[in-house]
Amino acid sequence: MWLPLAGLIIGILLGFISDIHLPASWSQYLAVALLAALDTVFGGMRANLEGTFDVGVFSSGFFFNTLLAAGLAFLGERIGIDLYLAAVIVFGTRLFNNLATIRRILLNRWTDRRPQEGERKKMA
Amino acid sequence: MKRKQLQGNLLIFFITLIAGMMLAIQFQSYAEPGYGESRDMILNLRNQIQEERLKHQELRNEIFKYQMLKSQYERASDDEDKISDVMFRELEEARRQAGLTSMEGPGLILHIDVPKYQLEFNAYDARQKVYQKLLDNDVRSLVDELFGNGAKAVSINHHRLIVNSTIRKVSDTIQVNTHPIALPFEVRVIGDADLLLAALQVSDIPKVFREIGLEITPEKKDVVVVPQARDVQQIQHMQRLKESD
Repeated sequence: MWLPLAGLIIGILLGFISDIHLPASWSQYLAVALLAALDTVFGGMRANLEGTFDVGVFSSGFFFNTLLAAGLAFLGERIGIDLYLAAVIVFGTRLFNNLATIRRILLNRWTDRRPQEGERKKMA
Repeated sequence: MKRKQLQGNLLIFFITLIAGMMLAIQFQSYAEPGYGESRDMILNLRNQIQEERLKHQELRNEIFKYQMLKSQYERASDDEDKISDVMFRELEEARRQAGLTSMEGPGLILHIDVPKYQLEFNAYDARQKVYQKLLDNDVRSLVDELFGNGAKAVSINHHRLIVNSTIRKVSDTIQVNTHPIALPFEVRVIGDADLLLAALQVSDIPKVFREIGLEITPEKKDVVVVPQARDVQQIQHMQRLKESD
């Protein structure tokens, strides 16, 4: 559970320290790819909390979704349709769903740890 | 089993590491773009402010002028002779500004001709060759440069240049106000001679003329006479608007 978070934070720190700057034209592709990557990471965290985590699904999902999102953005720019919007909507929705599920599971775990509170709640 | 779990954990760690780096890079790359654009925008805005300031100044000058005129009329409102005096003076001023009167003042005379050594041989041929290469744009840019640096009156070969004067190249001849002019050109300018000379030297107009084969020889003079504009168009088709109540 804490491993992905730790990886994220260390990755952010590394990125800031390394001071890499991409050309501005690429920033749109990276933004969509980033959305897909974040969705995959949070999806992995959710799956881990639910106990359905599979490393193969996680890693393949990460690379596939990221490349697919960036590819959609690139293709959309070439053919003149904002295809990146599709990626934004889908991955944004999934991100919200995953975070909501994570929040629900964590809250349930927290309430389960205090059985008396939980009893009182159940009775109410 | 443990090794597989370790591999899995490592993979998760690296993937989230990559995601974190992507986030940081995107943040860094995207947080900047305003830099280049805003600099252009600042320059743009500065130029606009400058232009508006100039306009503002001009409008204020106009307002001042009209206020003076109004006070003159008001002072003269009792005396009919004075009113007509003021109006007469206004008319003279308007005619002067339109270029309908000849003007005198300190200034420059620019002699534009082929270099002297070419004249000794065959003046006509030398001048013809250069004249064909001359464009109306060259003459116009010279006149623009003069007006833009404080020239109060300009004439070319005794043709006064006023607001609606034209300098055009019509089938191999340069025409000023539809009158063809031939080399050598004598450009008379009334204005600050030093300023005009300096402005001319800084601009690349003498160089352009030299490339065609013409030399501009300036002559500072204390009194330059610029003739009045001759064929002035009469207003034929303008009508007064109905005055509103």
